[in-house]
Amino acid sequence: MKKFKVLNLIVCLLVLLGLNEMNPIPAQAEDYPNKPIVWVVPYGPGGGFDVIARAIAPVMQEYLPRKANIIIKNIDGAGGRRGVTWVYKAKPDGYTFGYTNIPGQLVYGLVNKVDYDFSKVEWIGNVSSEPVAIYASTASGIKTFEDMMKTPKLKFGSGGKGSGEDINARFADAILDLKASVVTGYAGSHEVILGLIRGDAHLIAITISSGYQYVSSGDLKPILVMGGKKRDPVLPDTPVGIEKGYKDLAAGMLYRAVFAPPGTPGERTNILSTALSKAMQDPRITKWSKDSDRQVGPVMTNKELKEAIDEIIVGYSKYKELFR
Amino acid sequence: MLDAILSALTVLLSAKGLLFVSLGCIWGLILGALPGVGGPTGLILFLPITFGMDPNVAMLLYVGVMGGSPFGGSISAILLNVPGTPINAATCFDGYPMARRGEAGKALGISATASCLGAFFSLIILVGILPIARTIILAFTPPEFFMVILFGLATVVMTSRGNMIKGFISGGIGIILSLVGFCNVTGGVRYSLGTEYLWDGIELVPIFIGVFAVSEALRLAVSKRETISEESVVITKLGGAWEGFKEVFRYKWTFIRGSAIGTIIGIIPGVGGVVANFLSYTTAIQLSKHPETFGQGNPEGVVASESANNAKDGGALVPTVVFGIPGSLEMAILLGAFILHGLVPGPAMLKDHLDLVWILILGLAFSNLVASSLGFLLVRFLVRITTVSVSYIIPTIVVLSFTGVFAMRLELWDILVAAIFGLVGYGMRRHGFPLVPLVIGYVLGAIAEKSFHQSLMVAYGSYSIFFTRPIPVILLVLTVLSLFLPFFLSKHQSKGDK
Repeated sequence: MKKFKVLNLIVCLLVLLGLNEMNPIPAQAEDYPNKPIVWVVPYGPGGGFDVIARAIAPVMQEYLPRKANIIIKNIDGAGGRRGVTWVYKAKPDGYTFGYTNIPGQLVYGLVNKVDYDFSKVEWIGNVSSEPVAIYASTASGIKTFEDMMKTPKLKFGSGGKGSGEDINARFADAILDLKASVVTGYAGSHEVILGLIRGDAHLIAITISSGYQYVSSGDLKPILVMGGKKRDPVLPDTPVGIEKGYKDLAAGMLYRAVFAPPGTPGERTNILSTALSKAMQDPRITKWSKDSDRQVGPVMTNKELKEAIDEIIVGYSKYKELFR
Repeated sequence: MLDAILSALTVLLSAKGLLFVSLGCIWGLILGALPGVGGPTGLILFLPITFGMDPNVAMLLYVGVMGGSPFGGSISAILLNVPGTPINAATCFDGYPMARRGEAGKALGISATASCLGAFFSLIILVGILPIARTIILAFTPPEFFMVILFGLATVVMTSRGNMIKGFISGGIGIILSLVGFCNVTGGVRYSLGTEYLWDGIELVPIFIGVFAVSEALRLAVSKRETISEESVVITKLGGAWEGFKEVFRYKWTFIRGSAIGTIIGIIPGVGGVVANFLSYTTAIQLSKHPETFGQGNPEGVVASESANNAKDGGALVPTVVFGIPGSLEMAILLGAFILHGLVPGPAMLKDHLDLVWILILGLAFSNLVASSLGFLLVRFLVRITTVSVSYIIPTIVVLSFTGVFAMRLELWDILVAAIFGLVGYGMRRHGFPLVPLVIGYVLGAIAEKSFHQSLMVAYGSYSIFFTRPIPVILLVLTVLSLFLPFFLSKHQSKGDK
C-alpha cells in the first residue's frame, strides 16, 4: 500500500510537470517568436495559393527573429472557408496566420452567414494580387472584345458555384450584359481551361497569370482585362474594362492576402509583416516568380491593403444578389 | 528526343539520382502499407523538404514515392485484408483468402510482378501515344465522361450477380453518400445537417478505412482464429513469391487487360483512379469461365487488381505532361512541386522540358522495379505476419487505421466517421452485402451527377448531346450489352441443357 501511494504521488507530479510544459507562462514580446509559426493555406496542396506560400515561407523565416520556422498547413474545404475560419478563431498570439481569397471568401460572406469578419482581422500583407482577365479559347473563334460582345449564346466555364472563376464570370456577365450562361462544376481552373479547349464553353474569367501560359501555347486568347484602372503590363495589347466604359469592372481583382486572428498584438503582426515584405523582395523570390510565371506582390502597407479591399467590397456589394 | 532520354538517364543513374529514387520508393512502400497514409499524404510531406534541391533530383524523389506506394498498399491488403490505399481494395478480395490458405508469399509475388510490369506497360503506352495524346484527351467531354461513369456504375450490377438486391442496396448507399455536401453545380448543400464538417461531403478515406480496415479488425476479433493464416505456412526460399511471378504469365490476358484498363482510366482526367482496380477485377470475373472462384483466393483476381492500379500512374502522367492538368491526386501534388521548383507545367512542358518528362518516366519505371524487387526479397519476412497471433494484429490495425485517418486532415470527426463505417462494414459483411458496390457507388456517384449536369449546360439544356456524339453512343451500347449479356448467355445455356 505504501509503495502504491508513493508511486501515485510520483505519477501525479510527472503529470503536473507535463501539463505545465503544455501551457507555459506566456512569453514576453521580446521572446517572440520562440516556436514554429503556422501559415494556414485554406486550399489543397499544389494549388496557386499553396505553391506561393511554399516558395516564400523558407525565405520569410530567415527574416524572422531567431530564424523561427514557418510551417505550411493545408486546411481545405468549404471553398476555403474552413481554413479562413480556423485562422479567425485561432489564439491571437502571433503563432497562426493564414491566407484569404479576396473576393472569394468576402463575397460569400456578403450574402451568407459566416464565422469570420474581415473588418476585425489584423492584416499582415498582400502576398499576391493581380487583375482578373477574360480569356477566350482559340477554338471559339473570338479574338477581340468586339467579337465577344457580338457573339450570342456565350458560355463561361467555371470551377463550381462560389469558386473564383464563377464569381468573376457572373460579375463580368452582369456588368457587360453579355447574357451568357455559366458551365460550372469543374474541379479547378485547369480543368475549366481544358474544357474550353475542348469546346465545352467559350470564355473563362481568371487571374492573368493563371491563363497566361495557355496564350503562348495558342490555346487561349486574352480578350479583356477586368480589374485595375489601366492596361496591365503583362497584356499590353488587351483593353482594360475601364477604358471601354465599364468602370465597375475595376473591382475585378484577386488578392491573396494574409491575416492574423483579431486581437493579435501589433508588435507581433509587425514582425510578420516586415519579414513577409522582405521575403517578397528577396532576389530568390523575384527569380522564382519570373521562372514559374507566378505573380508575387506588389508589397502593400496595411493601410493600402485595407483601402484596396474596401474598394473591392464596395464594387461587389452592388452586385451581391448574384452570389447568393 | 534521344538526347532527352540520354540526359534523363544520366540524371537517374547518378549516385544522387539512384539514392533519391530509392529513398522515395522505400518511403512510398512503407507509407503505402500503412492504411490511410499512403499516396498523396506521403507526397505532401516532401514538398517543403525538396525546396532548394536540384529540380531533377527532387522529381526523382517524388516519382520514387509514387512508384512504391501501390505495391506497399497491396502488402497490407494481402496480409491483413486491409487495403493500404484505396487503389488496393480489389486486391483484398482474392489476396487475403490466399493468405488465409498459407499462400501469402504467392500472392505477394503476384502483386510485385503485376505491379511492376503493369507500370512498365502503361509507361510504354504513354510514350507511344504522346504524339496523339492531345487528341485523345480532348475527345473526352462531359457526355463521354458520363457514359464512361455509367459503364463503371454498371459494374456494380456485374459484381453482385449472386446478390443482386443486396448489391443494388450497397451501391445505392454509396451513391447517396457521395451526394452529401455541397453540390458544385447547383450550389445547394445536401444532408450537411447544418455542419461545416459535412459541407464538403464525406471523405473517401474515413469511409474506406472504416468499411475495410476497422470492420476487418472487428471480424478478426469475433472470429475464433488464432492467426490470419489457417493453414501452416510453408516458408520456402523465396516464400512462394516465384510461384506468384509465374501466375502473372499464366493469366497474361488478364494482366494485359488490367494494365490497359488502368492506363486508360489514368489518362482520362476526372474519372476516379480508384475505379481502375475494381473495373479490372470485375471485368476479369465477367470474362472468366469460373466466376464463382473469385473471392475465394483465385490468383487471377490479384493479377487483375494489381496490374491496373500501377498502370493508372503511367496513364495519369499523360494529361499532366501534355496539358499540365493533373490526371490524379498525386499528379496534382507533382504539379505543385514543379511550380515550387520554378518549372511551369502546361502545354510547353513537352517542348521545353522533354528531359524532365523522361526523368519522370524512367524514374517511375525504376521505382516500380525497386519496390517489386524489395518485395521479393522481403517476402519471407512479410509472410510471417500471417503467423502472428491476432491479439497483436487487431490492435495494430485499429491504431494504424485511426492514426492514418486523422493524419489526412487533422479532423477528429473523421475518426468518428471511420468508426461508424467500421460498424457498418462489419454489419454488411455479416449479412452478405457486398462492399465493392458501396465504394464504386461512392466514388462515381457524385462525378456522374456532375458530368450529367455539365453535359446539359454545354448543350444549352438539350439531351441530344448524349446521342449525337460517337463515343457516348458506343459506351452506352457497351453498358447495355454488359448488363444484359450475362442474362442472355445463362438463358441460352439453360435452354441448351434442356
